[in-house]
Amino acid sequence: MDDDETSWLIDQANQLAAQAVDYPAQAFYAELADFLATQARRIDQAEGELDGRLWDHTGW
Amino acid sequence: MKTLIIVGHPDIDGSDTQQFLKAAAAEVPTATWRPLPATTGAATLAACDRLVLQFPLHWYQAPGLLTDWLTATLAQPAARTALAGKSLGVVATFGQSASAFHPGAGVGVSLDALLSPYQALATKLGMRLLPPLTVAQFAYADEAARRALFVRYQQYLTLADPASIAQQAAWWAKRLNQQDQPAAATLATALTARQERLAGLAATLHTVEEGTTLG
Repeated sequence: MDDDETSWLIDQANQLAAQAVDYPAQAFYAELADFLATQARRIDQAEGELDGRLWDHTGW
Repeated sequence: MKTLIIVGHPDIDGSDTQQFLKAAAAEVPTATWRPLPATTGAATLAACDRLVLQFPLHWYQAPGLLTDWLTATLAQPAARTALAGKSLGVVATFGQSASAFHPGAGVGVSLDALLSPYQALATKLGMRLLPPLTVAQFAYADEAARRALFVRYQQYLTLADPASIAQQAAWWAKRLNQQDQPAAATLATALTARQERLAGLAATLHTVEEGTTLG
């Protein structure tokens, strides 16, 4: 997963949270930043697991 | 999804927790907030896809207000029929720490055990019970926890499976695409593409696992 892109997306969400004019919008964008981070972690974990399985010589 | 929220709190106006949840529900056009006491007919129940029973734990039980409503409503055979096939959500709030609700801890009983009557209720009515959404010590929650609850509650009212990351991603993308913000549309596109990547990886992992098992 592209860490730079992830950081940029999270930054965008946090900026929108900071600009929000009401609480629902602030909560929405702040939680979106968290979700983007969670999603990126899951992608990294899945990629790592796949690499591990494909390169496990015991399974060849 | 049309959701009917039955709020069994004796003093909603005086409850910060209920006012907070009410504000979150107000942002969900398909959710109907119905405070008790109220009479609910079979037609109202038939019109919803999800029934949410929302209440504070009073002496580790739902208040009489809610059980009175259940008794009166389910006395109608048409009401029981109307609820079959729908999903049942439970939102329970309480003033003790969640960590107290375990064998050997302060309360000595798990929340699952205390809320088990709702599993029996769902089974009897032919409803699908969602894992409960519990809110412990709202008064002590910091801003991050409150924001998380605001969104988690909205997803609890609208997602078939609130715990599904895939459904959460679709929820975020849909809400982003409803915003009048170019940045929001960009975020929606990226989030959707990433969820597709995650789904692809999961499918590939499954294939590799099957290959390993068969090999």
